[in-house]
Amino acid sequence: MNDLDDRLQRLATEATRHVLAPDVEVIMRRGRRRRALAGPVLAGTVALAVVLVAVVAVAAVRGRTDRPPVGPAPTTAPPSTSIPADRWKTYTDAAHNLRLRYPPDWVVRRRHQEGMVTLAPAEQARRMLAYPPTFAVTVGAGGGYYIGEAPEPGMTRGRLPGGEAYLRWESEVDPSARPGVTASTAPSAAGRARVVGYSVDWGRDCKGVTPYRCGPHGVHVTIHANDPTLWNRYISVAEGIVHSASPVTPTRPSSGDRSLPACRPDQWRVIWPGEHGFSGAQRFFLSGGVQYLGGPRCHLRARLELRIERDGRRLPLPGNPSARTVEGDLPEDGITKDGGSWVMRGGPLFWSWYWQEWCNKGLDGTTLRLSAANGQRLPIGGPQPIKPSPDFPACQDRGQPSRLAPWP
Amino acid sequence: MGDDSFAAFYIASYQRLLGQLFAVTGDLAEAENLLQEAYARAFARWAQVHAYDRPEAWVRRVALNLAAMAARRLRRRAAALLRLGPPPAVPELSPQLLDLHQALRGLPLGQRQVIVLHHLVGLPVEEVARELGVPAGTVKSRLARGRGALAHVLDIDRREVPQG
Repeated sequence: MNDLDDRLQRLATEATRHVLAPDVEVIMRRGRRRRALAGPVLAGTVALAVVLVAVVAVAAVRGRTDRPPVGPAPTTAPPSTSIPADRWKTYTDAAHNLRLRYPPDWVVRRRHQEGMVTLAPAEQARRMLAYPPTFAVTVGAGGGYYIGEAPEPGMTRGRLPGGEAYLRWESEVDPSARPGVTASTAPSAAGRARVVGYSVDWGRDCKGVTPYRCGPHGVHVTIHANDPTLWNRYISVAEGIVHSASPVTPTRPSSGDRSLPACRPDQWRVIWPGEHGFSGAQRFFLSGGVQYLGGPRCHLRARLELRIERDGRRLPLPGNPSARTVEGDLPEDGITKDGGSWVMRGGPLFWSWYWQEWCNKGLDGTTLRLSAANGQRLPIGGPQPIKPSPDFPACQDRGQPSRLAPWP
Repeated sequence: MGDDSFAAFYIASYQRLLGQLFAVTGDLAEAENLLQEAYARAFARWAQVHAYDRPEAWVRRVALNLAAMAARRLRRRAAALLRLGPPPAVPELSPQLLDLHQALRGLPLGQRQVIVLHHLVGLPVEEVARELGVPAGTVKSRLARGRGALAHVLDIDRREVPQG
């Protein structure tokens, strides 16, 4: 038996040896409730939609622009919402090149993961020792490049006051999906946790999390509120904390060193390591990198173009062909092989595109072709439908336009 | 068939699936939550699930899917987000296994899934691909990358990815 097989087996067995399965009656009761809800849920959804539309319409008529508070409002403003930012404390993590400011009555706790810290309002201080705080800002510094692999609907871009570019998104979370919280079969919308994520371009330095110390780094932030009341009370403070973040020592641009000689066409090539996936059944997503082929250290700024074709002809779809520019240094930002496989660590020479509504009628039999400024033409197979199942619905033609776009 | 057969299936498979889910999520409480939800879903359609060749694979797949959905909501790339809330509920483990647990948690969810399905559950690459709904090539590359990352930390055998 392979060593890893053996160790995993022992891990699974040891970790669960003291765990007793819940009474099967509890599970069956939950299953029956789920079965009973399955019928009325459509009617309920329609009714809820009607009510929501009505509420929105009434609010619009009244000319309300502010969001009505959900749940009980605090009788007095908590101190942290009223302490001016110039009296906030400073948190510094020089090892991961992060500095940020926070209200003096908030608590700060370094996490067991390297480079990570959680900040929470004072009322969470006791809770943080044993339980997840119900409102918290968690910041992870020194991680990999800030742009990841999966496109997220509703993601926006922006810049911190210091000029650092960021991606920001918001989502709601079913409390039952979070560890340590009792599962609920039908959580109400009002009871859902809200999460804001930030992924910030922190530039190039050599202070990241091991083992990738030198290179472009990201700072990843999560603002987490268990309920709307906490959200309304603390979100502006939390956003203030995020926007106070800055490097302790200046970093170099993630896009590399433009003073280096430009890479020659024979020094690089684009690689598509077969990496693709479906971000939701309707979206085909693919990504790759740039391989360094040799020669002196150089700076690469290259235009790439992806094109959807059938029988060698471009398909007339919005966004097709789609172009983007990648910029970084070689060899350090190049894609490399490890253990016989390409390793996609992300970075400024990492490229991604997505094809929305890829399975619309008339789009079968297509191929994709990536063209690079060095004259390279890289054929890429079109998306293959995945066998559908109750939990993995197939892509469907929803009557929406098919389009190709770079990500982000 | 019905409640009795479900109870027998549940008792026979719970511990095994919990171990597998724990290896993927790295958090015992989360693994239990996901698994219980998956079992509840199985019971809700037990007549259908019971008729499958491997109801256990169905429950595991639903639980893995729930784990992926939770992770996706919190943004896959920002590992910070996945770990945003509480520190994970980690049971008492020997130092060597604790290292493995930490190393697994450092991997992207997709790599953890294929490592667990291939090395712990013992599925061949093609079946892992079917279970996760991804191409076999993706499974192979994730396996290679996951094993490569674990090898750095754990000094384990970094063998070639199987071709089938």
